[in-house]
Formats: sequence, C-alpha cells, structure tokens
Amino acid sequence: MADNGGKKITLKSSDGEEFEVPEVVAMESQTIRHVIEDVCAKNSIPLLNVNSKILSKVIEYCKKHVAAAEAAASKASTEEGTAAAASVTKPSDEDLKTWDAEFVKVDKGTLFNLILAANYLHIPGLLDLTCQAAADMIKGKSAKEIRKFFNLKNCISPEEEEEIRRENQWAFEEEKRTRAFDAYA
Amino acid sequence: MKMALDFVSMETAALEAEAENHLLHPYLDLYGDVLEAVMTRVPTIDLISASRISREWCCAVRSSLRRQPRRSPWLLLRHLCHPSSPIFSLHAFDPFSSSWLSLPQNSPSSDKKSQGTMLFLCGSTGDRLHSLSLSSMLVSEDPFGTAWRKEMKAPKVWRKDAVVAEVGRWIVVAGGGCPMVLEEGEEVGAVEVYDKHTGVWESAEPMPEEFDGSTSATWLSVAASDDRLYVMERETGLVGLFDPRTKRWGPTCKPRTDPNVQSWAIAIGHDERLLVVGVSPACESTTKMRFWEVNQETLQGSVSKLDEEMPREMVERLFPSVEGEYATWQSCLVEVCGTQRGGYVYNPSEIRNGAVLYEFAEEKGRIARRWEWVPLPERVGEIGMGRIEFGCSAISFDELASVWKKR
Repeated sequence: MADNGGKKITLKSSDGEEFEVPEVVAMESQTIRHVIEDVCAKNSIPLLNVNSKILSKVIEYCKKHVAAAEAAASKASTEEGTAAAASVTKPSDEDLKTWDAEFVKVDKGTLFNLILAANYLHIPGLLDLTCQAAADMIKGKSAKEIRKFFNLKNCISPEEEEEIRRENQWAFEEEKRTRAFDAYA
Repeated sequence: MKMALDFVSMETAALEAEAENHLLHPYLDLYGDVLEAVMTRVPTIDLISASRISREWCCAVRSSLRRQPRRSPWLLLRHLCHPSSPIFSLHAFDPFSSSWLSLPQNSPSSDKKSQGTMLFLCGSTGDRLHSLSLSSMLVSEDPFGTAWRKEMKAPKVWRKDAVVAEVGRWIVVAGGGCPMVLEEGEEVGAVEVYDKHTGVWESAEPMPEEFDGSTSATWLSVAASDDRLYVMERETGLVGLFDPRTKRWGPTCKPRTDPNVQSWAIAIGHDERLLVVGVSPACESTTKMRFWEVNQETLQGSVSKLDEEMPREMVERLFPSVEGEYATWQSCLVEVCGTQRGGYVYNPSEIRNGAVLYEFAEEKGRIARRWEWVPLPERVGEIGMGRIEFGCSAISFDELASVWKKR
C-alpha cells in the first residue's frame, strides 16, 4: 500500500503495545473514526478491550481491505468503460475472498476475540466474516457436540425454553403493533 | 472540548468495566449482541440445537429470529417412491440456507381408513398434505404431515383429480366430478365447501361454465387467500374467483392477455396482490417467463403495469434448450406456488428439472429481488421411479423444532 505520508494514528492495546497505522486504516473501525472526528487532536488511542495479539490481526484485516478498495478504485478510474473495469475487479474480489477465508482459520479463542473486537470497534466487514466463521462451527452439530466443542457447561430446562419463547412472542407482538409490519405466524 | 473529554472519560470508564467483565468470563463465552449476530448466520435447522445449549444461547436464537425473521416459504417435496405403495418420503428446502432436509419416511397410519394417495392441497396458511377417498378425507395440520385433523367425511360428489384447497376456515373441493357416476343434479364442475368450525359439507355454486372442459386439477392452477379461492385455466389464463362464505363465484376474466404465452399459472402475491406467471415457448429466441402482479379483488393490473421476466439462466434450468427437430415438441407448462413473501416456479411436466425460488422485493419498481435455482435433493434425483409433487409453505421455527424432535 502506498505510503504517501498520510496522517498516522497510534493505537495502544490493553497490554500496552503501540501500533502506528495510517489514519485511513484505523478509520475502518467506526468507533475509532468517531473518536478521531469528534475528539480532534488524538494521536494515541487506548483500546482497553483489545490485546496486542488481536489488535495486530485486526490491523492486518483493515490494511488488506483498505488496499483492496484502493486498488479496485484506481483500476476502475484508469480502465476505459465500466464493462472492462467490472471484468478486471472480479478476479481481485475472488482473491480477497480467498484471503478472508484464510484469515479466519484461527483457533476458537482467537476467533471469538476477533468477533468481540470487531463488535467493539464497529468493523462491519470483519464482524460479518468472523460471525460467519463461528456460525459454520455450529452447523451440523447436535447440542451435545456444540457444548463439547465450545466447552460450555450450562444447560437449560424445557420450562426455561418455553419461557424464553413466550417472552419473544410477546415482544414480537408488541413490535408488530408499534411498527405495523406483516404478521408471520 | 470539555464535553468531548467527558465523553472520552465516560467511554474509558465503560471500557474498563467491559474489560474487567471480559477477564471474568473466559474467551469461549460469546454473549449478548455478538452471540445473536452469530445466530443470524446459522442455518435454521441448526438453530434447534443451538437453542438447547443454555439460557444465553436460547435467548440469542429467539432474539435473532424475532429481529430478523426468516419468512420466505420452504419448498416441500413429496416423493412417492413406488407407484403401488402409499409410502412416501417428504423433503423440505430451506431458502435461508439453500439446503434440503429429509424427513423420515411416512405412510398414512394403519388405523386411518383413508388410503388415497397423499397429495398437496393449496392452503392459505401453506400447502398441506391430504388424501381423499370414497368415504373420507384426511388433511394434515402441519406442513410435514405429522399432525392430522380428525378424519372428515368425504364430500358428496365422487371426484377424481379435483381442486382441493384450504381457504381460511374452509376447505373447498371443486371440479373433478366423474361423469359416469354423477347423480341427479350433480355436475362435473360441482363445488363443495367444508366448514372447519361446524364440521359440515355444503354444496356451493358449481364452477362457471367458462371452465367447461377443464374442471379438473390437471387443467387448473390454484391460489388461496384467507377468504378467496382463485382458479386459473392454464391454457387460456382465464381466472375465476370463489368466495367460500357466500359459496358463489365472481365474474371470470383474463387478468392478462399475451398471445405468446402457452401456459399460465397463479399464486398469492406480495402486498395483497396475485402473482400471474406465463411461459412463452422458444420459437426463434429462448423460452421466456413473465410475471405480473394483479389486484386480488379486481383481478386487474396495477396502474404501473409492472411486469418482469425471469432471468434467462433460471428459465434455462426449467426449460433447457433443445436442439434440432425436437425443439418444437418441448412441453411448456408452468406452475407456481407461494406466499406473500415469495415462492417457487417449476415445470410440472419436467419436475426433475427442479424449481426456481423467488422472493418478493420490498421496494417498488420490481417484483422479485432474489432468484435461485433449486435442484432436487440428491437422493430423490437418483431414484428413477416414483412420483414427485411440490408444495410450498411458510415454516415456523417451532414447527421445525417439534418435527425434528419426533424423528
């Protein structure tokens, strides 16, 4: 990615490590974007929720996606005609998808921390990618297998299940009344 | 500036609290919004297991379904494996995860007198399995055929290949009368209405004479709303509207005319409308399939005269191009089944080509926002013999969970 002397921001992880990144990369996080835009002169942003291992992964993701977006934009502006541009950007879309797929091939703990980080930092693309990876881990498993896989000890009684179902049904009815959307029985 | 700094210090305090919370809960505990975000991406069938893990997970599943309801109807496939046996297998296609589920093999239980073939009836709350014999009628209460209504007496007129539909609290049986066994006053196009509340069959106005010659299900495409039955002649596109409450037919009309269309079909549409589908076979160009929306009451098109064509690659799936001398022989029949959210289009004479899913768009300006080809499930595709029938129904999470528990 071209280092054109753009503004740099320092992100500080919960365990005290500092990461200097171009502002445009940091702004992939909407949380950080708000801090930069609202609080003006902020050179070092502490992220108490994210440790250095996870923060470096997050930054890796943001750098890759900013670079991909810039490459696509510059190709589109230099190619003559949109048809040519469309056929050129397609292969790089595939490349990015492949990169993303590799990116989430991490251990469960790291994946979950990435989900939490993406959520806290408001990075929609990363949240989507990591949640999908977690959803894929649940696919095809029985309740017993899920508990074993995620090391969960809790359980739930049929009565509790029914209570939660009713609560959500009640909430659904309320929303229906206030927002007037079509019924789905 | 001070306000901004206050914001930062407030944020910092909140962050510190969250960080501490994070240390107390080991990394394997996803919770709240994030857990819900994961559930939103889990296939519907897998949500059943997920909802049984813990209170947290159950809440996340229910909350996800409440905030992002999965309303597109499922495609149901009833496969009669052997022509001589009533045993059938039921398969259901989930449009959310684009995958087929197979339910255990089924047969009408031995204590039930009715041994007629299990077919789908068109229902206002979804298509349901039913069987009709000389003495009785059985109708399923759920989309999977696991719960059955109390056995009903058969309608008075003996029928073969009748139109059977569930319209709100009524069950309507129309047409299919056997000319050889009709009694005095009975007609081929006889209509009877069963009131689920009273448990009684009543005779109704017979099918309009415009339908003479095509008063059986083979020639008709059917749609049912909560209070009306719509019957469309496949060949001509003529539509009749029946009100089970008054037991009368409205005036018949052709909502759309198009000289190129060879076969018509009708289904419930989006936003209190009807969906009309017409397929035009290939002559010089490729086969085309057009969609229109018409008003349920007036059977007329909207002011904008919105119509749409199915994308070519989808049409190709249902009506593959045939080269050479057989090109003109290709049968061009279409059928559609669906709800106000979406549905499925298929070629009833080439059911092995699968179906094409459509989902209605919320915004004005187009009819469908999603088209997807649905091939037959592998197991069914392999077996050469046997009869396949499609149905369509909305399926709630609880209905799915209770069926899955029983298997």
